[in-house]
Amino acid sequence: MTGSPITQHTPKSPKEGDENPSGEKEEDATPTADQQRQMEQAFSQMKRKMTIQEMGDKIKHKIMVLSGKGGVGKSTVATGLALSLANQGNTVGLLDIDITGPNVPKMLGLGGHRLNVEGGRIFPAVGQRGVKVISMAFLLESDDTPVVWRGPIKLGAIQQFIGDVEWGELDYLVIDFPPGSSDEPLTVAQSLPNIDGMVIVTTPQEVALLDSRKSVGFANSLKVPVIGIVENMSGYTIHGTAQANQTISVTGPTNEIIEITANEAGDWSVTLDIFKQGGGQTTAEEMDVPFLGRLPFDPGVIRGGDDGVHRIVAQPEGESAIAFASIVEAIKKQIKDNKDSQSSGGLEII
Amino acid sequence: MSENLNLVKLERMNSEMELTWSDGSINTIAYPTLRFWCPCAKCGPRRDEEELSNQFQVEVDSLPTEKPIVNPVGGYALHFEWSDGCSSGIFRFERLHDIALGENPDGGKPYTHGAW
Ligand SMILES: Nc1ncnc2c1ncn2[C@@H]1O[C@H](COP(=O)(O)OP(=O)(O)O)[C@@H](O)[C@H]1O
Ligand SMILES: [Mg+2]
Ligand SMILES: [Zn+2]
Repeated sequence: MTGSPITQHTPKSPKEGDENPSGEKEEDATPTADQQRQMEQAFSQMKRKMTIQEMGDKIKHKIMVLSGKGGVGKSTVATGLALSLANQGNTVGLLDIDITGPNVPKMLGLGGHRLNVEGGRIFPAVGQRGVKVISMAFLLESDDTPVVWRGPIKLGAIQQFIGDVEWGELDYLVIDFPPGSSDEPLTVAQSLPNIDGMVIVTTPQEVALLDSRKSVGFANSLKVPVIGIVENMSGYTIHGTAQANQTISVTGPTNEIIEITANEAGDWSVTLDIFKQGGGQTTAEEMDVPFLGRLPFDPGVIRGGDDGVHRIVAQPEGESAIAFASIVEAIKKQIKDNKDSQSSGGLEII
Repeated sequence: MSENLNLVKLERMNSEMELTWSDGSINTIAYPTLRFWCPCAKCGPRRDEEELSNQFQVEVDSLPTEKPIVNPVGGYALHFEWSDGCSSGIFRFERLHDIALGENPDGGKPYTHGAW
């Protein structure tokens, strides 16, 4: 494809004498180079469209993960959802098309990985828990080189990432997008049939919440259902020990005094609202979309480096992993509810 | 088409279908017209040039008259199945609305992949 950054991919040209898209007006007319190029393009588009249709059937569920602004933990959440779904025995793919900072590979121990293309097909890398990964980072010269993509090239790459990847059969495909209302979600929504919906990630701060309201509007304009809102970095839990049933006091983030009573074993814990908690839920209620749950502030959520490890892998029974599992349950329930309401109510076909 | 306009009812008649929209408006699309505007990658390029396009129109006009099977896609589009001709296209509601109003749903632009 012209203008494509994935140069290894050469679409097969239609054989000479094959059905000529220009209607076979003159038998002996040799197509000009330009016509030839157009034919090749149409042919590869057709092929891609067919595989995309096929992909619609082979991948049972497709979930888009978005946020109104960067740095709220969208990629951390997308990766966590993929791992959590995989922990339940699902076959999961993770497509990272956040060109502003494709950091999913590093969260799954795949830093430094490059695109694997064989016979014109792209093969995903396999990360922890067998999660299959395709990332814009695989196209970079080095993980630290920022890329400036021109619009058409970027969208072409995304379409290739959708149509030319050998995902195989998947139960879930999770897609991590750039923050805000960029072109990418539109391209994906137009190219991929039957998207289950969008998960919007926010933090409890007012600015992030405002942006997540915009994301809900954005989802509506794309005609993609909103699965719900996840509130990330929502409160930090500290633990300690004291004497059995002893009451101790802790100073909170805004200097308020919090009194806690230890249990029979002398253990106590308290969740501090680093940012004001509950904003995600209020926003969800306001916008009339589901609230999927909170993820705690967890400074070690990703153990860094190219061989990064997500908390879900490092501590499958830990607080973060449990929070992710409950959000996954909420997502599954919401997807099912959306399907039910679509098939019963809504459009009447006679 | 306004963002919130939704298709609420589709009734298949013998040679056309009647669409009822959430704003209460009702309009019809004849089956050959629907088939001419198939957004799939095979049919799209066939509308790009006038001569090709005329030939394509003749082709869809000569297809047998039948009621299609209608499959909803998500909450935003419909897929039509025919016993003959092309059944690949996924029609977004906006597209159906444009077609029903006699507008060019491709906006006069040549076919580009993904533009439903
Ligand atoms: N729940 C959390 N607790 C603590 N740090 C987090 C949490 N979620 C994400 N982070 C950190 O915040 C930073 C941004 O996260 P990232 O997922 O890359 O955000 P985004 O994709 O929205 O830009 C990273 O350093 C990440 O480790
Ligand atoms: Mg990110
Ligand atoms: Zn078609």
